[in-house]
Amino acid sequence: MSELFDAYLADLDDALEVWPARRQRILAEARDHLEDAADAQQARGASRDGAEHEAVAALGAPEALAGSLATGYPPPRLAAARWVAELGVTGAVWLSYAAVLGAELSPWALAWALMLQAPLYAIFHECLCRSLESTTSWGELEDAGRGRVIRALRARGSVARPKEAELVLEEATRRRRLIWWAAVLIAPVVLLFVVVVVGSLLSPGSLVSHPYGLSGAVSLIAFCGAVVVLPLKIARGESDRLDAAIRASRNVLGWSELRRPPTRRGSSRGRSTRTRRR
Amino acid sequence: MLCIADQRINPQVLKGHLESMLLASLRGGPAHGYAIAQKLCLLSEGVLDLPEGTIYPALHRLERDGLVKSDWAEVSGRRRRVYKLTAKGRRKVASREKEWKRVFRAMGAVWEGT
Repeated sequence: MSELFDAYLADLDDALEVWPARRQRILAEARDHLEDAADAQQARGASRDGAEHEAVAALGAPEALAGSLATGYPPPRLAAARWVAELGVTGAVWLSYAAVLGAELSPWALAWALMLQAPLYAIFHECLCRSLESTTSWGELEDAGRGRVIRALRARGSVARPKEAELVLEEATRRRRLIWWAAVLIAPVVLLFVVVVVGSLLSPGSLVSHPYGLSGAVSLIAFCGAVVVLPLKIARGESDRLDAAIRASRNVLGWSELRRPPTRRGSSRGRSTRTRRR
Repeated sequence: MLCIADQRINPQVLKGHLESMLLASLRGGPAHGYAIAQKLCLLSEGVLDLPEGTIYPALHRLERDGLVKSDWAEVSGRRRRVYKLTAKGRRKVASREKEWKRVFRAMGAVWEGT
């Protein structure tokens, strides 16, 4: 494979924020696409070098392609953190059930923990993650007014044109709806935890005698930890995600600009008619 | 076969229709990304010369939504990711086609009436 394709794929690899399996697939597809496009151009009479430049230019900036491909998929680091948190909580609940029931760490205790606690926690945790992903800064962008948003985004050096900001606003609106859905779904779960823990505190004996008491307390501690830690993680990643959304929007709106001028002689680029071979 | 791409239209006109076009192009049979782009360009006589960088994200979205599925296959001596319609995708493209034809007729009537 050519040095140009290698360089393009290396840039794409750097810009991608996806799981390794998907990364491999994207890189392989991009490589095939570039080779097909270059072969087609070459068959039309272009030099190999020119054909490769044409293929790279037509596929667009690697950062833009990576941003588009990542849109709609949770960043791997966040997803991994979620899985670790869920495993940790399930383990803690397992231990608590085993302690409360006075049993060994048997598969039965694990099954009991998973059956009663994990589904509730999974729903609660998913809702929490979704609500935190919809951080208020997106909503603020929406409310601030178009001119202010554009100024703010330009000040960040992220957006060059008003149309890009409009796409960001669409994304903000979509995410803001998620906050309401998450709030509606989280409320009963949080209420359940509060009732269980308050009940346990009012009657300390039940904390050890009732299986829900200790597991409720463990879950609440995990909940408090998540409430403190996750917003910090999300806030740190917010800037990156916003930029990714902007890159994605640029790929939709600015593709014609991304097609760089020809770098080869004898190309059909620059003529009024561009042809391609199937 | 050559694709004449001198009649490209404003990409904003296509906004929201890219995925339908991709689904429609797969009705004729499985194809890989580059072939899909070429097919759309050829069938539309160069009007739908889509930006190549937008095709793969759209195909991945369609796959995530269960409208297409993909697999590696040997095509012309080269290993490629080939996409094909699912049953859900076929239903979707049929309903989109019906919807689009209705809009097309309505718009035609308005243009002719003015």
